[in-house]
Amino acid sequence: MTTPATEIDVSRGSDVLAAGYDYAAVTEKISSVVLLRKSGRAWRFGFTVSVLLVMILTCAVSYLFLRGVGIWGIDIPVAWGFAIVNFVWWIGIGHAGTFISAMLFLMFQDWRTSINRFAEAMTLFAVACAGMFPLLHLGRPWEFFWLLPYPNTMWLWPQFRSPLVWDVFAVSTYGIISLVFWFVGLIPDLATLRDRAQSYPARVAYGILALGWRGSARHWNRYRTAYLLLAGLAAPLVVSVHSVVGMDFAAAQLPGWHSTIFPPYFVAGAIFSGFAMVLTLAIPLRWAYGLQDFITIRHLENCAKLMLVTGLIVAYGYGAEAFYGWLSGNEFDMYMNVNRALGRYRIEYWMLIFCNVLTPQLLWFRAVRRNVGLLLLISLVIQVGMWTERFVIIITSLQRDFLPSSWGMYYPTRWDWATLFGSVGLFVFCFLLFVRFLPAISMAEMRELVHEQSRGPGKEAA
Amino acid sequence: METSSSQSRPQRSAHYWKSLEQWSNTPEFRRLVQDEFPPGATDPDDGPTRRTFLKTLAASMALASLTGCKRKISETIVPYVRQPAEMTPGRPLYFATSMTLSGYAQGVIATSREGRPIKLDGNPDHPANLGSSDAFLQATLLDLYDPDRSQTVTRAGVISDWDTFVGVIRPRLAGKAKDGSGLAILTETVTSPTLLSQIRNLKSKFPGAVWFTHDPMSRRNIRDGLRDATGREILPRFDFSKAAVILSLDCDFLFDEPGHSRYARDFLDGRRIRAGTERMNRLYVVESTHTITGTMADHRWPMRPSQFAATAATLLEAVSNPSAAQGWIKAVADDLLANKQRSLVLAGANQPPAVHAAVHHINDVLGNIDKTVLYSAPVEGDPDGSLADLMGKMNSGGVDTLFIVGTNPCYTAHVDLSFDSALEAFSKQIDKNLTVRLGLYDDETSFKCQWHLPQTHFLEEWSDARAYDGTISTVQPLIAPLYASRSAVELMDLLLTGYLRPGQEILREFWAEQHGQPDFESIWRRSLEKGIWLGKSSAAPPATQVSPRTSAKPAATGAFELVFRADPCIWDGVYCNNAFLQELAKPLTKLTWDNAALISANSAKKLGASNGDMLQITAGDQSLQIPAWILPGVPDDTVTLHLGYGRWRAGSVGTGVGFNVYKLRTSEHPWFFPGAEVRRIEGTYFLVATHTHQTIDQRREGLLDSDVIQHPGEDKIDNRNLVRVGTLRQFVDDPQFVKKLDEPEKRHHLTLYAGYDAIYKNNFAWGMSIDMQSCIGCNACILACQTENNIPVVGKEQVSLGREMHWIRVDTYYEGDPESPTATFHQPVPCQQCENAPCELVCPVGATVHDNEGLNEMVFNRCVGTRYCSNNCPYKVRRFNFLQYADRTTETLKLMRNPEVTVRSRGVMEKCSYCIQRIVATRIDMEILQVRMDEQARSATGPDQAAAIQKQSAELRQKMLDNLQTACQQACPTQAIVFGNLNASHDPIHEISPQHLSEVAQLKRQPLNYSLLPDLTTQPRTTYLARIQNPSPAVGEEKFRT
Amino acid sequence: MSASGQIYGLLAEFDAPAPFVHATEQTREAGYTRIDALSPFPVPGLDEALRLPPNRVPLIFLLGGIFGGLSGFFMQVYSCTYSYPINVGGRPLYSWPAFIPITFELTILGAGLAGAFGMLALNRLPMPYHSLFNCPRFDLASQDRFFLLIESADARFELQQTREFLQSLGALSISEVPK
Repeated sequence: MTTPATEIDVSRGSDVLAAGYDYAAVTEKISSVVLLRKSGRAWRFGFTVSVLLVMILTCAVSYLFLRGVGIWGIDIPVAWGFAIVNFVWWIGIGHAGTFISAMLFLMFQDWRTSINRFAEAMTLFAVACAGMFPLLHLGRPWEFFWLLPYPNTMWLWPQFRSPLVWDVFAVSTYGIISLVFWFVGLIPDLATLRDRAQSYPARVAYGILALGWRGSARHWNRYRTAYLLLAGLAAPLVVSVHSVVGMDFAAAQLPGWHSTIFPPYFVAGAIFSGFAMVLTLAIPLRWAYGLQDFITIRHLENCAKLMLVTGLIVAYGYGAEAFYGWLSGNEFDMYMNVNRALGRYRIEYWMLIFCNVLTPQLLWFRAVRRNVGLLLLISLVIQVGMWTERFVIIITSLQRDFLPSSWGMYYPTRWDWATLFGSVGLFVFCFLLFVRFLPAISMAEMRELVHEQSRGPGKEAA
Repeated sequence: METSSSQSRPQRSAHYWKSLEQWSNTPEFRRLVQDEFPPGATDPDDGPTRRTFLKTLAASMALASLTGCKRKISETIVPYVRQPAEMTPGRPLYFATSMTLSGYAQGVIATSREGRPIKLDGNPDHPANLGSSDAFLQATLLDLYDPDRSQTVTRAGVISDWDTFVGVIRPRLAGKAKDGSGLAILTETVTSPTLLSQIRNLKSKFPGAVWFTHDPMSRRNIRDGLRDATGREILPRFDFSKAAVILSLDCDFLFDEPGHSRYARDFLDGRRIRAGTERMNRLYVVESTHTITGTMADHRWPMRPSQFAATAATLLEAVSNPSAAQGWIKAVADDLLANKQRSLVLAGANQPPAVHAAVHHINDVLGNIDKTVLYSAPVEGDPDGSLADLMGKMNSGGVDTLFIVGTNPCYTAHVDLSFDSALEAFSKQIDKNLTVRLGLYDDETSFKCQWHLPQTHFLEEWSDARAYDGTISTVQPLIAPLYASRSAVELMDLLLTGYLRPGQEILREFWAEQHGQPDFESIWRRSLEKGIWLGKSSAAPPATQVSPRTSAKPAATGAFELVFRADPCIWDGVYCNNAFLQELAKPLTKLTWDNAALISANSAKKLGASNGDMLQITAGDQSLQIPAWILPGVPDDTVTLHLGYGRWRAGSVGTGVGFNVYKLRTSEHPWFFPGAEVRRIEGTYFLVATHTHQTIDQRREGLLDSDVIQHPGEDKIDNRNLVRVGTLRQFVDDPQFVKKLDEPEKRHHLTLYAGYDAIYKNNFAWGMSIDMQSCIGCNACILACQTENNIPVVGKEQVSLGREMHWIRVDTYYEGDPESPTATFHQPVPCQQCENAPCELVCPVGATVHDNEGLNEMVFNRCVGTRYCSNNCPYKVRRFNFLQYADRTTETLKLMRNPEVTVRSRGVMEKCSYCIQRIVATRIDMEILQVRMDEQARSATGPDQAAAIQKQSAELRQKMLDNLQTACQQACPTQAIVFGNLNASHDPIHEISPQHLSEVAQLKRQPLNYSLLPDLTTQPRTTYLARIQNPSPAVGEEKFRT
Repeated sequence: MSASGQIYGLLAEFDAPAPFVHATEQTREAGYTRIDALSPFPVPGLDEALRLPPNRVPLIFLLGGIFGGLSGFFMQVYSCTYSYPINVGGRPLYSWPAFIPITFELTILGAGLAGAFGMLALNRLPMPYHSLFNCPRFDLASQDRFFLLIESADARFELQQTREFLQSLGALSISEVPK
């Protein structure tokens, strides 16, 4: 029997996709952002600001290479400063992207579909920003490759027991895998753009990137397997990466660093800040391009719930740290906790408590979770809080360790700040370009979603 | 410097060094070069090997530096022969010479590489320091190479030359031939026999000539006091080795007495605690500020200056009539009386004559004279008067030709004399007056003189001087003058003869005449070898009577009292341009690059001032604005002011640094000002200290100090066990008390791993022991390390960021509350050389790793600068080149560098290496020797001769091993630092005498031995010996408990 | 017959998954072997309709992971114990616990890269040229239309018959794909 050609799947509407969308409409709406629509005033404003920040970053980095890391506020004993704080912060932000696209995919969460694409992009750019800092941080950056195992005449190797070398492998693996995962996901959409693009250069560009994708059933078959397995790999990877970063500190014997709680609560903190960043990006995005139908309140609310959960884990981490410090009866650990709460950096400490422990409690309320503006505000607060957390962990532990004679302070210089804000600019810069040139939502998966939603009971294809 | 060298290139010649060439061509030398490697080690025929290449390179470097010498002189300087005779180019040579501080000599052994002195150390044969150093001795090397030194003769600021000067001076002197009136010479304190005889001759040649001295650190008060007491012209020196009980009345004998290095050694020898020790000497200190001597005291009383006279008098009564006395004075007096002839009372040179007279009588009563107190005719020559007298003559027109040699009165003169303007006016009368300055720098005084003549640094000149005990010390040049400079001796000779003669000629002439024996040549040579004149010499010049100076008036009280002191780092200002000393953290305050008004915590409260707040100090009609610094232990209502800062023509380093305290110093009150007004004024000043945790504006930190100090029987949970202290009685009762403060020892050895003990057992195992009992916090070790290891200076701003580069630091901890600290402890902290080094584990590139001798090695060239190692170092001893600190452009500084140590680039971590370059050199020497002796043994006639040779070989190598010292150890005046091989089974001597143990190995077995932060199981190779105090039961031990 | 030499195959267009899957099944049952189904998203049931064999992508992942892990671990063991044995902080040369993180990361890296590129290779991608792209309608295959392709290389392919057969399956349009 033949089905009448008139009957086309149309989404019946749900809390993750508004009603009335068929394949063409979904495709049209998403691809038009890239192909047809002009870059709006909001975009142009954001882009200008980010370019300015990138310029500041360039100046800061050039001067850094010219003079040396002495232009920063670091000293003995506080030999690690903003560079490492920013590194950990950015890496953490990246994690939510992978978490969404991998974990939620494995758990067949339908609400991931419309946010995973730009979440993954966010991951990439965050990792790029993060990856920049360990290089800048080096006293002799031009020798960075000594951290990699490569054949050399002296037969020298990296020192594989050092967590920093673990970092090199973890972060680069993370970057590469994220890129691959992201690109594989992009291929069908690139084909769509190729076929929809008006201008010849666009056709060629997208054509090359699409690798000649035809949507053949055999391709789809292998493609889905590979995508599933990649997701399966990315899930443990995302956990391992921030655990390794956590070990940078846990492996040292500094009071305030040398703690087994670090890896888990670093991961939690990472996803915590990551979802905050997802919201910070999603809310303006859906507003600027009218994607409210695809990125619905439910998406935002789920992110908020996850922030609440991870936020509670982080809070537990703080508590555990203080508790073990007291339980150990070790004079150094106990003093470290006192020093954090009452010492010279107490303001930062209480600020992080406010941002990361108190603020998320608002998310218990449904009203708050569904209030877009408030959500944006909270997510910004949380990101500041997570940055402060890294600052407190690194600085206060170093500032006063074992020998009172070698205690010191750390005061960031204008170059520290320039690098921090510059990296934010770089991130926004990349993200804005991404929004302009690649579909911020996966069209293929949206069509799949339309298909699934349109299917009522007993409407299986015979 | 460039220009001057290019000017002087034509007149260069190799004569000066010909001798070295000849020396390096002696048959002996050639044989040694041949023998350096036995047959088989290298084949001389297989073309230039790496070693031969290096040898040639070194030789050519030597030759290159030969041409670097400038003056046309041909003279022999004599190598110090402590070294074995096997010397090859590229190896250091050692020469004995002497340096003077305010006129008094200290023996110096200078290390010379390819003709450049690169390191100074004490002369073991010299009684003034027995081979140890002080900060000045270590740092003065930088003065030699200081690019700011004046390089040419100038007349009214215009470049001139010596010939022109001679052309001017000859007729002038000829004019004075008959009576020589109007000729005046102003010098600093002079002890040099040659110079003194020259001055005598000058006065006999020009009867009207007059000689004045000006020395801001004058010891006049002592002489006046003793003259009043004994009617003799004498100065005291002390024998601490015989003293069981010592009372110091404001005498900082560990720092500013001539012979302080020797005093420190003798004093500490009487305090060393080893297993079984049951007695040590006891030190009472009463002082008007807080000094390093005070930190060594068993009982210390801060006291306002105005009360010392009374105290001395009371004490005199107490010792003469014990029953009358009371309070702590009685306790002290009883203790002194109980130790008649074995006690010692001394007073600081700053104390008024009355106090010195009283102290003499006290020592007399105690029978210490000629036992612990030795009187002798003053070592320093007696001038015709002081600066004031000179000015009298200048104003009365009694002087028309003035030579100022060395001293810098325009800066250091008492303010009421206003010598600066006087000299300016004097020099302005060009038609009438002639003013000439011979000085190392074109400084404040030279600026006001018509002529400036560049003076030679003592490493460039022939001279001599007397030590605190009168020992005649020879001064021989290590390098031809870098610039067109002359020595004081040469200038005097010019005045006498009208000719510029080389210094050596003058010296030889004088001493040949003094000795008057045919064997002069050999004596002369041996004297230069030793650095001490061994021949005959007529006794010190008979002291002429000098009118007693009016002693300070009875002091007013009530307001603040001022204490003027030589700065612990830059003395009276002579070292103001020395960056090493400027950056050196001053003892106790830890201030760098500045001086401050040191006040007690209570005074600070009273003034409402905190660290860095500006104070207005008004003394009589003088006044000064200077920032406050709180120094626990300073008596209340007194302000301690260090001289030497605030110079306006010191050089690129010292000009404008700090505050000029001379502005307050009057001839009436040279050392103390009784009734000064001090008040807090607007504004603060940025003072930089290397560690500031004991400041009182952060209570928590102020209190924490006592948390690092642990006494027997205390188990405070928050105690960091860094400083372990006990009393002698506690030690005698329970020698093991220090160990008991530890966690159970075995816990530190719990491990799952086999470890590397097996390897360490089959190699040298280097280790260090630091005796906190002996450390007086003099900082000599820091500077010794700095010069030995080419450690850069970073400047005030970088220090304020906590980026100072010193590889060893001296931590200071106070006990008790900041208002009245009960004790102060010094703890030198170099790299602890942990066997399980936390730094190594976290280095991603393996830039810091362990070797088989247990050294924690830092590979500069592999370091990428992640700084992770520093974070993970619990002792925070690692230093990082945050910027390009090492000066790579200044030529003269390149000459100073130790060629054995890499000059670090930016972005590289560095730290104490146990002077690995010295270790390696010694190891190589031992190997060469062994190979050679084995060779001989093989060719021996019989087995027993072979055995004898082997025995001798072992002993020689053991000697080499025992001579191996780190720079800090070599410098330490009290032998607080001992370094060596812990592994007895690897001592060469082991086969012969298995029970042999190196000194450090013995110290590690002492009951007082402990390591820092043992619970971290880092297993440091550097350990400490606990501090033991010897409080008097009569005074009470309470203050030695927290 | 002659025409069939000129063209690559016939392309039938559908606008909904259900008829598309149905048609595919029919075609296969009709005995056509060289057929392909092209869709803008993976349509459920299509694999069964085409009787696709299980793919070998997982195997590639496995091999890549094993290779990455082993090489990572032994690189560290080799460098620390054989090539560059040196005392680091008193720790044993063969301190395997410290080698785990890198081993793990390299396992993931190996598996991921091998898998992703393996998938593309099996799919013969990238393929810059394919006859299908000559067909204008085919642009819709990446948007909202579903296409069924019967290649002219198929033994049972006969232009007219095949076209009628496809029409009978209810295709919206049928276009010839030029070579």
